Amino acid sequence: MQLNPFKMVSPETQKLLLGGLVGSLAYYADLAIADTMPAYPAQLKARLAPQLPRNDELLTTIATPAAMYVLGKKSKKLKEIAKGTMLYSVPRLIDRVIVNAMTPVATTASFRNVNASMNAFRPVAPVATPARTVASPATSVSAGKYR
Amino acid sequence: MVSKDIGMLIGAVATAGVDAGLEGYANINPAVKGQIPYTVIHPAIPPLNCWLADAGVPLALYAIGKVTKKSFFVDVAKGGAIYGFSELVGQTLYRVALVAQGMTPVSYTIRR
Repeated sequence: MQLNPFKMVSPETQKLLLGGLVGSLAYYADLAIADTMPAYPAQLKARLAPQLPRNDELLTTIATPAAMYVLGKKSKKLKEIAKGTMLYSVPRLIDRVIVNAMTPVATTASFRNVNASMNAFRPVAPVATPARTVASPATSVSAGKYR
Repeated sequence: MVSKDIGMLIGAVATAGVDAGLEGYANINPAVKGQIPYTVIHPAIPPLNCWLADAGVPLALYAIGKVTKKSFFVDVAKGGAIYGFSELVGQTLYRVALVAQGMTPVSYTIRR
């Protein structure tokens, strides 16, 4: 009786499964680092839009299958693994967009908080008083052909 | 892409859709947190709704494929299983890492 799940499936499915695990581990490794590391960049925790996933989630779900696709062009084995990575990453991205779209309040709140924390580190330029370009009517002297 | 690959992609997206639907519903209605199927056995183990979506949907699709004897449904189930297995393994490792650091995942699923 075969109990090893990897040996119960065909070699092609094994490669797809391995690819899915590559995508999943890349995604969750990033989340674990983001949650445990205090110095994680705030830009990666921010969102481009409230209904979109965080920037680091976007990066891991798009860059990982893209990198695997480029590597897959070199060998046939890696091509199957890249296909498995896409089978995980594309639905994962859809999943995150649906969840964020269904939770507008929480997402918007975190979006605002992250952006507010980012603004705290931005240097604020001093507001300069604009130079007076138009003379006041009391002191102006009308002259010239446009009078 | 051949039809087999499209079938697998449909299965993976369907599984992810059910997962997202369950998680999104609980986020809209926080009162259901802690109730079935949003029960948490241990913080290091994914909650029941994740198991239902990531393991239940592919199994149901596989059963449909076997009963109707259509290989398309088996391919769809295979795609769902690849997504679901990877998701459950990744999420378990993530949760174990958080628990090992002395942190507890805040919500019933993953903190966002």
